[in-house]
Amino acid sequence: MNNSINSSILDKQYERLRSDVAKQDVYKEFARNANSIAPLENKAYLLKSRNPVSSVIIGAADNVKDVVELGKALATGKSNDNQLGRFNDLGLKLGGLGIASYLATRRGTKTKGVMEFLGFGAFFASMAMWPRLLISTPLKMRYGFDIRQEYVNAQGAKKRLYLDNQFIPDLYSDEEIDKVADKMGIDKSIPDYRQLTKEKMRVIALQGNTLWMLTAGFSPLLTSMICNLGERGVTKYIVNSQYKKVLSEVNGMENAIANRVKANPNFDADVRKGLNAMLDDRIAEPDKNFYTNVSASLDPFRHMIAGNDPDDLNLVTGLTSNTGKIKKRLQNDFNTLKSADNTSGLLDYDAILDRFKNTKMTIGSDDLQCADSWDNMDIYKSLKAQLEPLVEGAENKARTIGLSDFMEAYKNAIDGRDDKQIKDIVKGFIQETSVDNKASSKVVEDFCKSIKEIYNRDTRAISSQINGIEEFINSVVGQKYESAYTTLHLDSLNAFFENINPTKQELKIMRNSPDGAKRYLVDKLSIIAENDERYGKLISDVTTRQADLESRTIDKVIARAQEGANNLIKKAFDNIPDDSPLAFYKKEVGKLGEEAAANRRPLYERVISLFMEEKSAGIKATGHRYILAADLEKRIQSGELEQYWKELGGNLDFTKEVVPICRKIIYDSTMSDLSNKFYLSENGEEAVKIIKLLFGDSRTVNYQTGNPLYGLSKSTISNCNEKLLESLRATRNNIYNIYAQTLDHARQGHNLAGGISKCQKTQYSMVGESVSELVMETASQKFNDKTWLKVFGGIGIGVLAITLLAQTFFGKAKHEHLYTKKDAQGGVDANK
Amino acid sequence: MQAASQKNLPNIPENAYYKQTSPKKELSSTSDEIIKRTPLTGARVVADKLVNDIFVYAPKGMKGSRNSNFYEFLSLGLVPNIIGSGMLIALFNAANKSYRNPDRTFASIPGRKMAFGVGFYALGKWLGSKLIDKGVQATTGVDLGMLYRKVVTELPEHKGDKDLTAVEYHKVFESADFPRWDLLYKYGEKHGNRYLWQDKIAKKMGFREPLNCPDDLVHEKVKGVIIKSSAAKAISSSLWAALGVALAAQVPFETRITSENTKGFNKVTSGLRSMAVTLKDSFVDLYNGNNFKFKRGAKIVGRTLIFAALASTVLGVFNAARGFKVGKNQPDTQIDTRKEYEVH
Repeated sequence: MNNSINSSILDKQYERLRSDVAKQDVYKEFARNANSIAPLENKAYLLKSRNPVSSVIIGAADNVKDVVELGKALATGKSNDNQLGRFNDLGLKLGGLGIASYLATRRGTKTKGVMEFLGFGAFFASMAMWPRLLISTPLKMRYGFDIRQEYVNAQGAKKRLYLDNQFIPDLYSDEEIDKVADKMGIDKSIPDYRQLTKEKMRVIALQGNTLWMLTAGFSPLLTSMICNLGERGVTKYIVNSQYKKVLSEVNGMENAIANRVKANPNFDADVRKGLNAMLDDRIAEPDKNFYTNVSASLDPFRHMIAGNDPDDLNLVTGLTSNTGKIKKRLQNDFNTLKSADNTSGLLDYDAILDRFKNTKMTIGSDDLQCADSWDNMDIYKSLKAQLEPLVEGAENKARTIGLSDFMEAYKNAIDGRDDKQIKDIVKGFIQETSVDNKASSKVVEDFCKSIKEIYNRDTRAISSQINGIEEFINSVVGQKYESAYTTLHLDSLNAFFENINPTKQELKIMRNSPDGAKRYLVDKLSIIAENDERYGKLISDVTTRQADLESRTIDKVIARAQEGANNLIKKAFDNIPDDSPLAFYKKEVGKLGEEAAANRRPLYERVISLFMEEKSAGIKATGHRYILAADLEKRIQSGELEQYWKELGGNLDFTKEVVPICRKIIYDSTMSDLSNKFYLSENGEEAVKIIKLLFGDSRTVNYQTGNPLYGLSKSTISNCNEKLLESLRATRNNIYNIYAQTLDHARQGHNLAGGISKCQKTQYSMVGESVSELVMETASQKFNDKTWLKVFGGIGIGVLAITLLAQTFFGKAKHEHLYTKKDAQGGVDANK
Repeated sequence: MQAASQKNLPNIPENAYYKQTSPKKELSSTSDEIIKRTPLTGARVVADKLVNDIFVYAPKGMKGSRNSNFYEFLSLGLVPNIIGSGMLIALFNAANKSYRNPDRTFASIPGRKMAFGVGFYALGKWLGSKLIDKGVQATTGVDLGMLYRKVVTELPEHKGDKDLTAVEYHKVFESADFPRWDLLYKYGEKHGNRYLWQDKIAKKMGFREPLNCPDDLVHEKVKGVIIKSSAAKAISSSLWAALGVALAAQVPFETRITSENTKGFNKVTSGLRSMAVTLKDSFVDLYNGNNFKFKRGAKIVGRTLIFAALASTVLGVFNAARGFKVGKNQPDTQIDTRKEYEVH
């Protein structure tokens, strides 16, 4: 078919129609009634604006609906353009979710994982928020209508009213149009003011949509700003939730650890192996190492002294006496076992050896050399007589000991050789005696069994609790990246930086070297120290947050964990039967939980508390270091330091020599600097005074003058958070101790610096990070943040401003006169 | 006028369609036509859209022109895509050069990953839909990317406005509701057979003989193919894009793609080789979940992503072609399809 054929058919049809019309007058009738025939009722309607909550719920429901529709479309191949467009959005979300969940798996820490999701969420949020927040909302406030208004069409599909500039359904009621006209200030006296209003609305919507397209690309800016702002919130949230989690975990630690007791299947084999190797079951006498090793295995605190770290060993020296107690008990137990009925046939090796030794000591060397017949020797006779009763029924079979054998044994005894050779000889001596091998084996077997039982029932119960506690504390309060500890520490560091408030240019210098950071910090802190108010604010800001960190997190968690650990161990001790070799631990129970001086507390409690202290010492001390730096500047500025130096009778020039050394120690010292002490080595006797000057006890009073010689500045003490003073003092005393030890003025356990006696590991942890390095790293971080914000904050604000400013030019419709004036014929001139 | 001569009857309005003036006819939709595609046609269309976005569509939209249409709005979508990609890359890279050195090096690692991530996202999205297009074309013969040039007649904006046409580039099958069958007829007529395209598709469907009235049957099937493949593309291209991002997130992309210190063409090839090695290593890492803290999780998600992307393509093509072909044993019909019928 082609058009000409088509048209000829139609022409014929029209011809027929015309004649029909002429005949029946139908057309006339139609023309007459034209105005009374109404168009079909409009089924489309505008969606009402919803509150955010229901719009989220409906949005989610729509997504579900889209998934269902997607399934239908894929299965049947029936759908429509609108729906296909929605599938595309669905795909975008799916892809985004895929990306985010993948990236979430590769993040090591919670914040990063959450940020990845927040970043993804923020990206979509900003994509959705950009047009709403910056375009449609201001326009709505100005004109009273939403350019993102949605409607439901006759087919039930949701669409945006102003999506297609050339197809805008006429769905607003006259009242609504009137309201918009009022807002726009349109003169309602003009004939077609509603048409004009609608035209203006169209123009505004189109302009808004175009502006959206032009600026939406900058929404990642908004995303990253949201993320940057969000990061603080998220960090705070995570710190808080982590802290709560830590506390709840610590609260539940008894339950978590209580059921951890597990038998060690290797233990039995190990003990047996050791026992067999060292035990001659014919003699049924283990050598000395056996008792030492087994008692060490049975000691639940054994793993603490098993390490090679001399500091650990130092810390737990007291524990070895417990092993000794167990050893003694085991020996007694074994002897009791031997003397029981069924082991009467056994040789008492100890007795034999003792007799032998005693006898041999009575033989003089002269006697030995001139002896012609050993059998006739009194000494031999007497020895034999003594040994014979010990070997029951051995008399008949007893072999006389040979000359050479005896000679050998004697020599060994004289030379102080080891017991093994003597034992061999004795073994030879009693070779032929009738020893009940079976009974001997049984003794060994029983002994093994009882050791195993004690191990699994008592030792394992306690040591697995201790292991559990250690693991638990490590996992909960260990110095992990972004643990509640480290993040709270940042809180006080940030307060410090807010107070010294470096400019970007200063940050740029500080970030490059510790020296630069120190130079800046010295200058800045001296300036702050001159002003009491500023200094007071700095100290109180920083110390308040530091105290918060220490009291809120560290100390509370530690106290609770200590309590939990005590409960657990107490329970484990309670379960030890009274006849167990470990029963002496039960005596310790009474002391549990009592307020006692640090070194009076039960040993294991001290061990655990030091273990936990070590965990937090570094973080605490790092915070103390910059407080001490500020304090040093205040003491220099106020003259307190110089006064003290004079009191100490120092010979070095204060300004030229002492101050630089003091600053070096306070600002720059790292742990290794402290252990080398190289700043002080060249200053000989003066070194002691410098240490006293810096870290001397804050309660020292100069009795000659009556002035209190504060280790800290008066101003620091009056502004410092009360809770932190003691903690600061501990840090200072600790550093004093480290110096003092090498200078031979105080040794471990000496109380010159306030009675702190820690193992060296904790001592060095308690030094913290050096101020200059910490400030350098932080300055770099802050410089980067500022640079980033400067670059993108500028662009962001620029784009925001343009987006908002552009809207002031919106809504100027063309040909406004078309709606206002009509010519004589009631028409308008479109070309004007 | 027959009607006018009759008494007491108003004039029947003229049929607008048949009484067109010749210039109007020229401007009408009849001048739309399918364009021949070369490998660079797609790029040319994108370039055309981009230039128009900046110099025509955006100014028109900002002025509130009545002639701004939906095509222009959609074309403007290129702008946020390009700005947004640049923005994402810039956010992670632009400030890095002012950091001190160790920080700069550390900051450049996520920066490089982000740049590759953005690139691979776009590449994945393009590839995902391209693979389905090609697959559907191979199995059904329907070229979903078939382009036509549309001439739009605009309203005059001001007095004496003479240039009232604008050219747009559309896809023949971009609308599932209204595919441009007319253009296919027109294309066929140009080549002497109105049903040229439909015959081709019917043959692909498995009809041994050309059908008498192929559009009847073919159009319905093609609509199904359009809908099913569009739905599949929406999912598949996003999955491929996600896969691209995941690849760029791998450790091998943390180090620079370097080329050996040669000059000219060798430098390019060695750079490409280095890129290929990095890609391969990344793929292996993604597949095995290497270098991640939660190795097991990364392995599961990584493999899921790889297989989901591949499966979405294969199943998408398979599903689109499902039910498209007629059985090989076509029953002998009672109707002789070759017989001509008269229209009464």
